[in-house]
Amino acid sequence: MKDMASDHKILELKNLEKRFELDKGFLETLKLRGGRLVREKREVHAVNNVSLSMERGEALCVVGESGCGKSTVARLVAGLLEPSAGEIHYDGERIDNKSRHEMLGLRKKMQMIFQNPYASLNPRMTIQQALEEPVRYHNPGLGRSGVKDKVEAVMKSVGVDPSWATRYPHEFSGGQRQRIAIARALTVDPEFVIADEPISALDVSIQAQVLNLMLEAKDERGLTYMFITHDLSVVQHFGTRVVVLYLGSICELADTATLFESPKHPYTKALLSAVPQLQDDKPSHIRLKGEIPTPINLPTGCPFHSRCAFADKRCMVEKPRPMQQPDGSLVACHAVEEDRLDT
Amino acid sequence: MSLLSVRDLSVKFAMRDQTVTALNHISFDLAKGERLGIVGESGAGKSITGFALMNLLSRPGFIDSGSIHFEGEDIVQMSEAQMRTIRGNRMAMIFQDPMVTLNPVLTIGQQMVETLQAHRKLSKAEAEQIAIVKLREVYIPSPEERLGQYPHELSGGMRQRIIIAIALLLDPELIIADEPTTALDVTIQADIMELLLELCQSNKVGLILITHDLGVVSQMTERTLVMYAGRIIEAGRTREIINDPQHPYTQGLINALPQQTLPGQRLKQIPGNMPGLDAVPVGCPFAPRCQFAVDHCRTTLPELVRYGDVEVACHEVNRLHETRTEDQSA
Repeated sequence: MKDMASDHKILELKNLEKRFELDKGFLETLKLRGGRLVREKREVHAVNNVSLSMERGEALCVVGESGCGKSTVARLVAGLLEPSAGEIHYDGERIDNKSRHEMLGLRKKMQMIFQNPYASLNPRMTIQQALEEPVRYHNPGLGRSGVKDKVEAVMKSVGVDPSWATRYPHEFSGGQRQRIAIARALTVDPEFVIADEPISALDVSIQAQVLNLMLEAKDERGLTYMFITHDLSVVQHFGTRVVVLYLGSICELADTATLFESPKHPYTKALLSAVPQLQDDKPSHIRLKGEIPTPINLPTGCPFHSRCAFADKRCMVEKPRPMQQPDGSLVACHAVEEDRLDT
Repeated sequence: MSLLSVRDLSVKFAMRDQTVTALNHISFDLAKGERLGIVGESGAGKSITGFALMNLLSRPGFIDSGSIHFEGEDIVQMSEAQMRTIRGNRMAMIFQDPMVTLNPVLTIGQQMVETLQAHRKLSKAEAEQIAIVKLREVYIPSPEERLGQYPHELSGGMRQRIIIAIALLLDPELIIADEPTTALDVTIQADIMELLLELCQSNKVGLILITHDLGVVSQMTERTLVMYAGRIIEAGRTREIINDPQHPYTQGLINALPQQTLPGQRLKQIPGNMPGLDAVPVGCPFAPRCQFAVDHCRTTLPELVRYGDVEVACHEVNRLHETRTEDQSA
């Protein structure tokens, strides 16, 4: 709507935080501690002080293991969750404090694709109905034939035969359903697409089809993607930049090529080494000690220190801040900063 | 003599209005201590193969024909009572989701002791001692305490380690692992796979690893079967299959991986979907998706035949191989 918008970053997250309360009611907050009744509220710290910005036309991949907060970040950006602290700016405009009503205009620009296409398509709506709904909603002026043309064009663009429009979601295969879910996101001509593990539930040959479709949509429509995934081989292929999250904090943020060529954070290194490669004849990876700590009681200092082979006293007390590296990447690690990692 | 010898095994499912074939005349052997990978996409018949080997198929599925010789005895002909002495004892299975495999209302200790006592005359204390040894083998910290814990108190990676410990309890000769790490994170997957490999090698346990991940197969197995629509379409040494696949489907599967294409380029996708079991085409089941298919492929089913060092079910394998070699030398 604003032409001058292009000089703004399309998305900016400033010190974003999200905590989920575990003990909601008064009674749940009562705990017995050493024979005394105390009030105590536990919280899951899902996203901690995440700041990043995205340029138009890039594909930022958010990676990390289960519980690292990557889906929460996606949901915060899409406005499906409210941040506990921090700001989200879209196109130079602060959006996290907007009402649902004010967000509606933005929904047209920002669409989301989820992991399970069967859950995101209404089983009692035909594909035609499912695809028409957003078009009608966001383009009230469009006539009946206009809507129909639009739906047909989008179906063709994702490789689903428009004559199947009268069918229901269960009549399609998983790959087709995901393509329809993508079509549904594209019907309103968004500029920003958040994809939360869009191909994780699909088979390898189908994954390639869906990824290609998303790449085509990117080139043809100039889309900007925020791509949430745990699959690093996909990241290398799809992303222009990558942000690695661990326990809700940024470990490393870098251009894809830089990250894969010279990962710096010890966690990024371990993560990359764990991906099984076709040429491997035995598992070879950096073994991390222990397990991911619970996000209820975050470790003090660096969130990764309990599993890091390079952790020292400073790591245990002081949380590292993301620091710019000579090659442009941002790394939050004291050991990298002090140059005491042996590479 | 091989540990396991499967001949012409067919599994069918009796549906209300028709009977569909889920496994179609598959044959393979597994030597003692050998590690075999079964790869393919959902619906190819990988898991059904695993279930059939354990004789765990339940209605509407049934073994229609064929034999499964485990150390010379045919499992297909065994009674349920005979089978029970083998299952969990001499051959064990590891499933994808540890939370489904473990009983949520029994402690880890109870489940391990129960398994041991079902097959051996042991006191509870003796059984617990064995359980602790096995838990230590899979690197579970403070195993004595874990015995008293319930599955929900443990993390996903820890649960899957316990499943492996239970599978190893009775020193089986064969472990069938069906997507054992699909539900886990990559770093934990790497740990579990390394552990499984180490245990199989040190105890000379045979392994059948069912997975969709070619990288995992490459790391873990010596031989590989590639399945498509209920049939084996390529079989041979893992290295050969990954480095020089002969069947167009295997090639497609490997080429579709993002690693095989330069970043940002279009991936080499295989068009279409695997046929449903009720609509497997006559001729080669892959023909409708195969860019090399000729008339012959659409009418006659290719047999699995030896080609070089591997076995391939493709009429055109000769022609395709020659064209590839020419392309490479050109």
